[in-house]
Amino acid sequence: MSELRWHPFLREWVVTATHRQERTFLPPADYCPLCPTRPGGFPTEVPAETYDIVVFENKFPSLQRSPPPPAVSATPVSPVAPAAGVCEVVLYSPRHGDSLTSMPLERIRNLAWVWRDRYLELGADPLVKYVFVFENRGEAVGVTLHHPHGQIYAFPYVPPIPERELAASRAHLEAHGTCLLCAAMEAERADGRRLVLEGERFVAWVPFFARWPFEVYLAPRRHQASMAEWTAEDVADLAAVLKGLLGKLDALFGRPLPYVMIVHQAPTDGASHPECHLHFEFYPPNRTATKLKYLAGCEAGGGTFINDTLPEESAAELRRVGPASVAAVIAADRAAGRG
Amino acid sequence: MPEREGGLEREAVRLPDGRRLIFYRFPQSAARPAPAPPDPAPREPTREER
Repeated sequence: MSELRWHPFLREWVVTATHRQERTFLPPADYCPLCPTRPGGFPTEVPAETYDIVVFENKFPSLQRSPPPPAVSATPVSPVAPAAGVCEVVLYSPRHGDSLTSMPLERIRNLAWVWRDRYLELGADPLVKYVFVFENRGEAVGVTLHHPHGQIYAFPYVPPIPERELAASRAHLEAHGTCLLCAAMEAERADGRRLVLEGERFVAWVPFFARWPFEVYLAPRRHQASMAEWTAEDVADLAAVLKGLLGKLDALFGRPLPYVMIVHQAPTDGASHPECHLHFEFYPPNRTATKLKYLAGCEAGGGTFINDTLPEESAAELRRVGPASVAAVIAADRAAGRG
Repeated sequence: MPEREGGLEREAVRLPDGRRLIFYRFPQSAARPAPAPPDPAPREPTREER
């Protein structure tokens, strides 16, 4: 069963997707459903002996192209709707042990082109109003398959957090004539204390208002509404900054750090979005090597995050560990014979 | 298999259950599809181990 149920108090949709309870849960590496299908082996999701990058429709989708009608009736205050949309899985590599941190820059660039292609194709569907690219990494954030992969949800509406962000950005544009994210990024670059890594075109920083201990924003310096505007130079710099940033996160505690990575960009609702500035957000759940931040009463029920760390200190720590610069990331990639 | 920006090519197939799967390839890329040897992942500690 799957449907959208309206939350009348928060004024947002909730997706019910009971079939997802049946999805594959932490299989052994020998039975990874996202690895290529090896000769004589069990058939995985990918009917090929190897692949470069693969995208497929999720076997256990929250949103479906042809969803069933809602299994329940609306209440006087809560409309229901079919859970229409598309849920895709993006396989970054055929190698089970790969990660964005360990992959060659070329593969990350290729992945960025795939993200862009999905944004353009899914966004062209009149049903789709928002293409949401994300990655959950690590069991601490609920990952059920360790193979390197991300996901794309093509929503039939603009989800509430991007919607709030866009509303704030529109208000800022109307009041000041400038982009809110451009203003925030320039303030961070001028201040410098929360910067983590700077490429020629992309910048990563811990936001002044970080809600998570090691939350990071990553955005193009040039005002870009979506991936549709990416050039080859943008993609090359993004790959290097992304890899460098994730290398820093992994270096924090000396092991692969769990994280949620999301991309906010322009809705595909047919409207112009001059207020929108594409960016990535990262939310690692760790507050120390062994302690996680949980969304407890104040966060889950009050909507107010309590950050146990100072963004200035988190950024300083991230600057100190891992690749020293984007140039170092590129040099290491070349030294590994990948350039 | 039209070529797209970034030099990518795509081939869409239908899986037996009707779902769509797309193979993305990058012919101009030096990063050819990597062989996929057994490569156990450096895994994170489980909740219990933590």
